[in-house]
Amino acid sequence: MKDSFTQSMDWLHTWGGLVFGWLLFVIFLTGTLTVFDKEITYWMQPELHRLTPSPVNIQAAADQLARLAPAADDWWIELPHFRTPELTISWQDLDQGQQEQRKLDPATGEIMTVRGTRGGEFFYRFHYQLHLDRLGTWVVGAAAMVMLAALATGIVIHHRIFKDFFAFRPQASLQRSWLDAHNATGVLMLPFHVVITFTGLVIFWMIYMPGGVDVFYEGEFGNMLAEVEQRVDRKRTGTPASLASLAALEQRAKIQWNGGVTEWIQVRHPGDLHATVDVVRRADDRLALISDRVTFDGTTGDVLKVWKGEGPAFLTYSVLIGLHYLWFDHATIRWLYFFMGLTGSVMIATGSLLWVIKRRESHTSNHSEYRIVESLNIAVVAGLLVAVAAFFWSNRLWPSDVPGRAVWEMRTFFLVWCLCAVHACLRRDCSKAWKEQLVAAAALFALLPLLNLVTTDSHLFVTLAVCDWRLAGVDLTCLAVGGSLFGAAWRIGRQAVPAQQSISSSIVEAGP
Amino acid sequence: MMEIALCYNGLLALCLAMPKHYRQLFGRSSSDHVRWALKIAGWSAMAGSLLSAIASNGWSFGPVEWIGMTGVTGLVLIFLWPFQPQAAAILGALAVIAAATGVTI
Repeated sequence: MKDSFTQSMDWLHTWGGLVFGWLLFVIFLTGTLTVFDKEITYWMQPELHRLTPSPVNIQAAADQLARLAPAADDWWIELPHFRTPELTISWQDLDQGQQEQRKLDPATGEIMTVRGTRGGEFFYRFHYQLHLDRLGTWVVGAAAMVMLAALATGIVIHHRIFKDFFAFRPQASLQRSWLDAHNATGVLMLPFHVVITFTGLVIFWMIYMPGGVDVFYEGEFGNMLAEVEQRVDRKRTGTPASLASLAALEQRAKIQWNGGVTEWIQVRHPGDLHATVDVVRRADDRLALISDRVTFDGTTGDVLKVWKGEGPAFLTYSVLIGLHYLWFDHATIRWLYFFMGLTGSVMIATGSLLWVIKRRESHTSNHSEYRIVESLNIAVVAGLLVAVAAFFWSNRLWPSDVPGRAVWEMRTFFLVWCLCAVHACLRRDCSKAWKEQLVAAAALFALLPLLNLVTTDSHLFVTLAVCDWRLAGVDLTCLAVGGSLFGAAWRIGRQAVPAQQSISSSIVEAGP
Repeated sequence: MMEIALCYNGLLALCLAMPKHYRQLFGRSSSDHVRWALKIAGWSAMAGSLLSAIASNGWSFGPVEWIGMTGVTGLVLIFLWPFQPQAAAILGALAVIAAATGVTI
């Protein structure tokens, strides 16, 4: 290690940031997209765009479940919402274990044929587990720890940040202006960065620190949750009995919530004497992610339990994860999270770029070493942008009846990303590689509304005319991102090397 | 809009309270009195924007929105300032006018 405190902090910031920077950029950018996950999913399912808000026919959903899954042990009905207009039913068969899902027209209960897509959930899974299941959660957790360390060490080493709070000097040296951009994005959003990283870790405390659950709940997190949420657990009797009206139970549950709306209904052991119905409230008007619940006897309709999330520890935890999940409906905060997430991504990207710029300007390290880092910077920062755009394109271009369509969309994403990585490694001239990939991403994003115009009936001319901002927002944001990336690529072209600064400023200002 | 106007102008005043940024806009040095006045005005406006955020969004969402708003308005200011300090100042005035005339977002 190094001599002084600042030097050792500098060492940790530089190398921790370098090794985990790429991973953190990917996590931050996919997380930023996840802010609008439901909007993206909706955009990616044009078959649902004809739905208009209407009274929900819960009974029709129950009838569909009784028809499709009479033997299932669990039924779920997810009610529509302005971010998700469709009614979703799903069930789990005891013997098969596989969860099945259908999307319904909320007014009539008829099954809608929707193209296979992961939609925004693709970015969501990527964000927290990189599509590597449990292993990915561990990797993301490690990255989050490094992020916290990098934030703390960053404050120590860039100690002039408050003196230079408003300093951004694009005319100064390349390294200076990039460092200013890195510091400005880091310091201004420091509260956001700390909170979002910490709360991200808190969500998975039971994976990262399983000791308590292991000792008291035989390692089963579900057991703990059942106790905390005071779930009513009744065994199947085997005696058939008819199910009470779900619509009536939902109405009665709503009385408990003065103004709250229902998010979903779960029926356990449908058709059995011991059927139980959980009606769960949408946590859309509060920071704390507590979903109030009313549990009914599914046969008699008696209230078995009214749960509203008791206990200060549970409330604290719920507020922390609520700040991260952003499930409450608050349009301004949602957009602010989106911009703050973009800024975080820019901060991380500028950090990785600085590593190269610093060494290139001082000529201290050999060429091949920073060449590798530079290639990785291009592949991760520009390449990911190209891949995200390609994912949107693949959603419109793959025929809607291809088997395993959702998987093909994901394959397109990863294939394009790999191609970008290969391109970044093979291209000799780094500034050209930056420029080409940024232009590719810019073109893909900017032309997306045009592709949408050709392939769907819910393009900008339609959505803007009826002020459907959920759909128009996606197209308009893509246009803005495309325009900003063109600006960034243009600046790189203008001044061969120093140009990348514009990426940071333009990405931050992107979006409507 | 009141919240944005207060927030942006608060940051603008705090920025101008720093001698070098004051010189960038007005071309001359600031006196101690002006510096203090700008500091007080800046911090008061920031506090005002927090109160405004809480007044319109309640105690739970208000502070969350305010933190996001300071970050995003600050970002606009920081990246506009070196290119067009005059434009940054005009933007502040426009925000005040918009807030005063009751524009909402």
